[in-house]
Amino acid sequence: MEILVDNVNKIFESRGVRVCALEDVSLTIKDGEFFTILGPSGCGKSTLLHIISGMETPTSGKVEFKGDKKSSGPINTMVWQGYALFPWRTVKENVVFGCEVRHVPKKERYKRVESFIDLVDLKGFEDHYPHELSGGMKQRVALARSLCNDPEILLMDEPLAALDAQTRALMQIELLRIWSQFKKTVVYITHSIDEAVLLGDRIAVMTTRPGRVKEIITVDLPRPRSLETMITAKFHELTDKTWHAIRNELVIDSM
Amino acid sequence: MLNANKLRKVMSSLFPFLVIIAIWEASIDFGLIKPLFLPAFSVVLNHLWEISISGELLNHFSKTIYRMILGYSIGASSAILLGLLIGFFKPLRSFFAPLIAALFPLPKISLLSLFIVVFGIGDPPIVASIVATASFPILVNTITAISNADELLIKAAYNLGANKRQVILKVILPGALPIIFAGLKIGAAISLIVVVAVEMYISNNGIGYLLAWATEFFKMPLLYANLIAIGIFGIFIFKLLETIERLCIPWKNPD
Repeated sequence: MEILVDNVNKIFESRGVRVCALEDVSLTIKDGEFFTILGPSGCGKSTLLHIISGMETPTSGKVEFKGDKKSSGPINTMVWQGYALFPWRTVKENVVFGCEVRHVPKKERYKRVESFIDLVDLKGFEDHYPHELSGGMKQRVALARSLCNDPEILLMDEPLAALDAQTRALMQIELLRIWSQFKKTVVYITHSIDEAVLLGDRIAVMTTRPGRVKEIITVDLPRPRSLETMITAKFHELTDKTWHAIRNELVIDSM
Repeated sequence: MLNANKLRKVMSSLFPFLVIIAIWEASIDFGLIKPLFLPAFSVVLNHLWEISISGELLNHFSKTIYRMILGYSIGASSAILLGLLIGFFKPLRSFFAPLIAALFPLPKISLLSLFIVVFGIGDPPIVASIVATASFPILVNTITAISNADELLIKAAYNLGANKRQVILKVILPGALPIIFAGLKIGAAISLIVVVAVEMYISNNGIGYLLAWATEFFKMPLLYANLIAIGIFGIFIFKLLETIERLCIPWKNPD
């Protein structure tokens, strides 16, 4: 499904102070695209994602979805930075949650769960509780839970930010492998330039507050990508280009 | 293997008691303490055995346990019900908050005379005292648990397609269980204290009465035998609640 973000503005007001989080943001995210949004902390990128998800409403402007519905689930499902797993549910019970609340027939439900647990490589951990898992495994569960819900669009809010560098690199490749099997539209928020270039088809670079789209960079790296992609000249050229686009924002932010 | 471990754990938790008993017995043997204030452990144990087989202890204990169970179950169930209502309905919260704040610190035992006037003599004022004291920590914990439900998990559940009813049943209530249980444990400990204290004061049977009677007639072996019995009963109650908690909240981190 295609996502049209049309002139979105968001103003927060708290204790009499008006903060403009987003200013005139317009984007067209193509069907099946892996779209990354890159920006410094506090640039409103999470707010933008929440507006796309429908959890928050824009002060002005609108978000539209175009195209036929191909999946059985809702239009979007989030993958959260803090995992948001239900601690009282086992891995299996977490993954099934979306199908359960939408009353997908029981037989089909557990068939789906099994295949997605398989996909994220968590076989043998079905009956573990989240507190028994490492950070990387928790994020795999969260990803399986969102995919099992069969949404048109996957919204990911810095899903790997809490992981250590090695686990993070492995999960990035895992994510690409899993995504290549589904080709769902993905909107992926990150503050890491390397991650944005490695994962995305296009990168929207955002400015610091108020958040505006500064530049859209097309990542024409061939797929499938791997960790080796990160040592190619083309990769460095693209990270340089992205770095130049975001640099001024970081300088302003640190002052 | 597991059984040997368990045995060692039991032995190591019994060890401090054995040390105390050894010091106790020795200080009597060496004439450090007058047996008038502290009879030898063997004498106390002997007395405990006597009142156990004569049925006297059981007779008093059964009265106490009956009052405790009655008071605790009335107090706990009404506290949880009221707590859920107040927790879920904000207008009720603002109405009840000042009342609870005013009544919580009041030593409810001071209401005993009032309960005697209202309910007369016998079980009712004792049970009423237990209800009044045990219900407060359970009420306060239930309200806290519901009103501080994890926002991220609620958002995640809605995003996965849950409706309001499902969010309450599948997210807010299970998430509240650990804090409600903490309140139930405090409430149980308080009911034991209150039932014994009130029985000492107004009852002519029950374990508290036996304690008061032993004190009045300076029956020191009976007094100590009683204290030991109450101590063992307290441990039993605590272990029972811990077991129920483990069964109800299997996802709770064991450490």
